[in-house]
Amino acid sequence: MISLSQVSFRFQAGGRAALKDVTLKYSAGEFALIAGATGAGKSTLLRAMNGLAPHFTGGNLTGSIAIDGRDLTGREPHEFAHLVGYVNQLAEASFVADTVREELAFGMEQLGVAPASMVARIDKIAAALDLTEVLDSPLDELSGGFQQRVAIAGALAAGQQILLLDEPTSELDQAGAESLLALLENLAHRSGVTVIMAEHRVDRLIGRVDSLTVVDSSGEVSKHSDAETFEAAAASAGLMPATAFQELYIRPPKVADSDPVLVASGVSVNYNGSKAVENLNLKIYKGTVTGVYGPNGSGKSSLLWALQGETNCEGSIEFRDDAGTLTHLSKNLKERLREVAMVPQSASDLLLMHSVAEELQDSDHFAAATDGSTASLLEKLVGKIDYSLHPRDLSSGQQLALALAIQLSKGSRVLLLDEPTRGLDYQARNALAQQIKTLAESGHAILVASHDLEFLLGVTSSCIALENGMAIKAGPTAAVLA
Amino acid sequence: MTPVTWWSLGLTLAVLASLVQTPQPLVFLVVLAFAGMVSLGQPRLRRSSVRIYGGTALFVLVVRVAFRFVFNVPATSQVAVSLPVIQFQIFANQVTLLGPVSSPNLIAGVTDGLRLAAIILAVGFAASVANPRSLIKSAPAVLYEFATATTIALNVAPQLISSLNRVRRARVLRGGTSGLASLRGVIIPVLEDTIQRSLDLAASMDSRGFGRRGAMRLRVVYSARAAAGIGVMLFGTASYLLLASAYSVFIGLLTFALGLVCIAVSARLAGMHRVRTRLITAYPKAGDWLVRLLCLSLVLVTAVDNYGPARQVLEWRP
Repeated sequence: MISLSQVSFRFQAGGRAALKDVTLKYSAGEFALIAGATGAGKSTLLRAMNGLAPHFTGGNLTGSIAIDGRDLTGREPHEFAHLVGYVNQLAEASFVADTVREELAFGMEQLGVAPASMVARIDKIAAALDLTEVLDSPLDELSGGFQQRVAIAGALAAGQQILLLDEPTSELDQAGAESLLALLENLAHRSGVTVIMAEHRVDRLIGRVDSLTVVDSSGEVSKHSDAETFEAAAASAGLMPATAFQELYIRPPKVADSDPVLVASGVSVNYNGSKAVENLNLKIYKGTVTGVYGPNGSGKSSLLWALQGETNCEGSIEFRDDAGTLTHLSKNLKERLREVAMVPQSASDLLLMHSVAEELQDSDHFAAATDGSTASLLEKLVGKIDYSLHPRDLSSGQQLALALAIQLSKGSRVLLLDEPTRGLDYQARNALAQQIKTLAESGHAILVASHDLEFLLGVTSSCIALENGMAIKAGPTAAVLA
Repeated sequence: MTPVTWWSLGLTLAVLASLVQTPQPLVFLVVLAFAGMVSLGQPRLRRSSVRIYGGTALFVLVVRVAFRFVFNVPATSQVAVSLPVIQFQIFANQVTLLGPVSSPNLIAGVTDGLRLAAIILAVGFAASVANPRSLIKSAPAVLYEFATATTIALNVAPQLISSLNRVRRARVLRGGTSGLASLRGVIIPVLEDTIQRSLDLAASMDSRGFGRRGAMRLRVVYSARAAAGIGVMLFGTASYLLLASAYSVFIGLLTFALGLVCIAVSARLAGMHRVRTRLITAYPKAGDWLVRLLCLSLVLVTAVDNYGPARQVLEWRP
């Protein structure tokens, strides 16, 4: 169906090869996975298959790409459009129209499909992807899972036989990812569409796909078609957790006799007229890691913002001060930041200076701490990094560690983390788990909100499961998340 | 009816309201626009348009009338409502509030208020029957790129607001740091989001075939460019001829019309290589044209009725 022969790609002439001499072939109806660590060119490989690389990414591509035996090397993405459908990581960001029907029509309008056959094709693809009910709904009122399906339907509506997906499950929760994968598998095996997706979370896909293409950081690409060999291939490329995640991290012991450092009782948060969090009780203890698990939109973030005191809520939130008595959170922001620290979903929003050194200095200054105290905390978390770097040039794992150091240097013993593993690959995720452990051992009380089941199983000792703002389960992690 | 027809109906009501001088027809227009909004509006838009447009119209009416009471020149005859006069001094200026309100003054206030209310409701009527975005979609094929850009801009705005909110909340968590660094800390992540998003969108559009062109003869390409160039030059000449008083208006208008023709020819030629089709093309039917014609004649008749005699008087008096 699609074949690459001796394809090499460099972002800069004479620079490092992102892809080195790749010769690959995908056949019709193949359900293929492209895996690789962050930055290892798996998106580039995917994009080379419809001209986005080099036309959108810049760089230089050599070798040839053919679809159905037709050479399409060097063509622009819109010249691939009738053959290849491409779906971006964030479906919502690719929408052009207001309603589902118009969005599905957009691609066909560009390709010049006759209006009558457009109507028929929209009905057909909507039926295939279960979108008939929502055809006239506005796109922004759909859930993330539905938006993803609309994007896929839009990419295939004109009868394209190849579907490229860049990290399709990264923004979805467990159930959403499962149903999306089932749907893609169906597209490949029943409808004969060649489905090729790039993902960095390999373990849940490995049992379903027909082939595994591994891109390593030197640009070497190898394709495996024998299901028996997938696991070994992924493991040798460092794409699988070495052993079960739970065994890798010894949970810090829960200090049984200590009193809770944060007590929330009867917390409710109103959001746009409905309850985002309803009547929630929570205690967290010194030296422990507690998890808040739930699907997207279940109220995890709202709960964390309420516990930090930034969102108005009903109920009471108390913390244990230095003297050991429970007191209400301070109304004063500066005081409150010393009581409860929080790192929001996109940690890089916290960074605003020109260099890491400036960030550290500003942080020490704000915390009225001795010079270098934030730096020593950062070093404890990630080791030495180059302080002259711009914060935005750090990897996402390093950015997160820097944000953690800055927030904790204010002196708080309570740390709230909102979806910290989002966008992290295995290595960075393992590093974060290690950092959380280090912090817990040094006496911090940590609350992690996440839809990453595996991560919570690995790092937390107790857990609350949320659904529609209400706690449906609470207790030891293994029991709650089982 | 097509969105364009609905909007011409709505705008006709608005223009009539602005031309009419007496309160009775205005009451009629207010009732008509409100009834149209409630009975014909799309169910999804109805509730919010009644709240927004109805509320604003009522507010404007009340304020206009209230102003006539508060900032009133005390009347000596034809008193409709008698209120006590309040007088006080601000920086040696005598200020008078309230006092007896004359009925002509009151009627003028009500007329003003009703006029603004009718205009607001007329626009509300059009907007709730035909979403302004659908108006963009019925733009002619030549303006397709412009229409697409507008739709995207409308869709990006909410995203911009949500990233601003997200970054602002993060800033609060960081604490401290004010001034330039803080501003930079807001602007850079929001810009990064927006640029990233625009690139994603452009990649997605290109991947779906946006920007495709069919085969086109080189001769046609050159003719289209030449026609556009000549058209622009004619526009320039026309504006000089029209603005400089020494030349005849007729020649100016003729040059302008010629420029228009050149641009139309260029657009037509350039559009020949388009491969694009449209899912929904709302072609105006006979009924649409009839309604549009009626709207136009209604506006013309009212305008002539209002200004015609007045202008004659102005022109013929020495």
